[in-house]
Amino acid sequence: MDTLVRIKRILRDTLQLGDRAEKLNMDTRLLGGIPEFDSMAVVTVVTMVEDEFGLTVEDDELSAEVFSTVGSLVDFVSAKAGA
Amino acid sequence: MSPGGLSGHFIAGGRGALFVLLREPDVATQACVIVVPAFAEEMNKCRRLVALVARELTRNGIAVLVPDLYGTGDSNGSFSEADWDTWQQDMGACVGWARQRGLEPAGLLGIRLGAALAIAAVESGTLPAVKRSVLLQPVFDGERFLSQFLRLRVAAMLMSQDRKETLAELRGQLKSRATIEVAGYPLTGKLTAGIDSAKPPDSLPAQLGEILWLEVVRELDVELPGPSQGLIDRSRAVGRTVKSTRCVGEPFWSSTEIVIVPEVIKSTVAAFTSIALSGPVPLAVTDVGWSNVP
Repeated sequence: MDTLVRIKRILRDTLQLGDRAEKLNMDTRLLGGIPEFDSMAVVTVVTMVEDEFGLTVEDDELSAEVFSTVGSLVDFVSAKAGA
Repeated sequence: MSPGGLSGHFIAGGRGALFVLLREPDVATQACVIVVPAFAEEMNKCRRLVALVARELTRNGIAVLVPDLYGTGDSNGSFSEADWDTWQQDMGACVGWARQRGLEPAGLLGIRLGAALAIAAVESGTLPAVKRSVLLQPVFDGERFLSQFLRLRVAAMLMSQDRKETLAELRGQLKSRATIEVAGYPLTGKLTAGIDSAKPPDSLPAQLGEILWLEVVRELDVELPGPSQGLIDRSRAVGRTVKSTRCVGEPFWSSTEIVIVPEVIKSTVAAFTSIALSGPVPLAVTDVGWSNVP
């Protein structure tokens, strides 16, 4: 399945976005853009990405840039999963 | 005293008074399920689900005891005074208190890190053997769990312009006995050393009785993570009865809003009501739902 679709689903479930998840696209801002996107949500998203994509996110890889937009998160995960 | 209803009590715990919530059925009963709580914020996210499980169990004639561990909830002590050994003793204290009231703690409901706490407590003999245990999205690897918890602080740094701390730095501070605050919880080296000591067991201890292992997944076609399936397989190989069930839903222990997964409630209640908890331990498991279907 498309990484974007999987990431959107993780965001939908973590943040309880419901129908709002449909509107997410690569340019949607996360940090500072979605009020529910707090530190607990960041950790949940990272944990779910690790479980779902079977990868390990190192601590020093967590940066504001990765969580800037849906697109930056998708790119990060794609690069990790492809590596 | 007439049975039935919800009552709060302060009981003597490992180090100080513990607040426990007891929900009893309207009929006289001996059967009692004791909840082994999840850690910190996760338990707050679980409280509604636990209350709904407890309500259903009492409807089925089973009492439920929900303790606040030392330094948490309405119990004595502050979170910075809590430690792993005390929490094990607290669980033992719950059993002793329940027995004094004429209840027999025959079931354990271990939630998240509560599963690791239950294992530590039965292995140290602080908790007695039970007939059946339900492990809800269980955590066994304390060190890995703690790293995920510490990430909350790392993630919080993303929101601010503060200097970024690494996990290694936070670990170092804890080792040097500093107290660091994570998501509003003052975390001490003493408590974290205890949690770190929780390792995934070779097999689930016999003292937990028959085990229902519940995992929440987003889709049924997602397989159980390798380490979980490995532990289940190894436990079955040494003769434990372990049933694993996957419930489709959202991660109720970490979601932003309070989430209820109805299937989790149904499966948990069924696990404790499908045998007579207050009767003798059955020699063989007869109900079909508990056969070791791989």
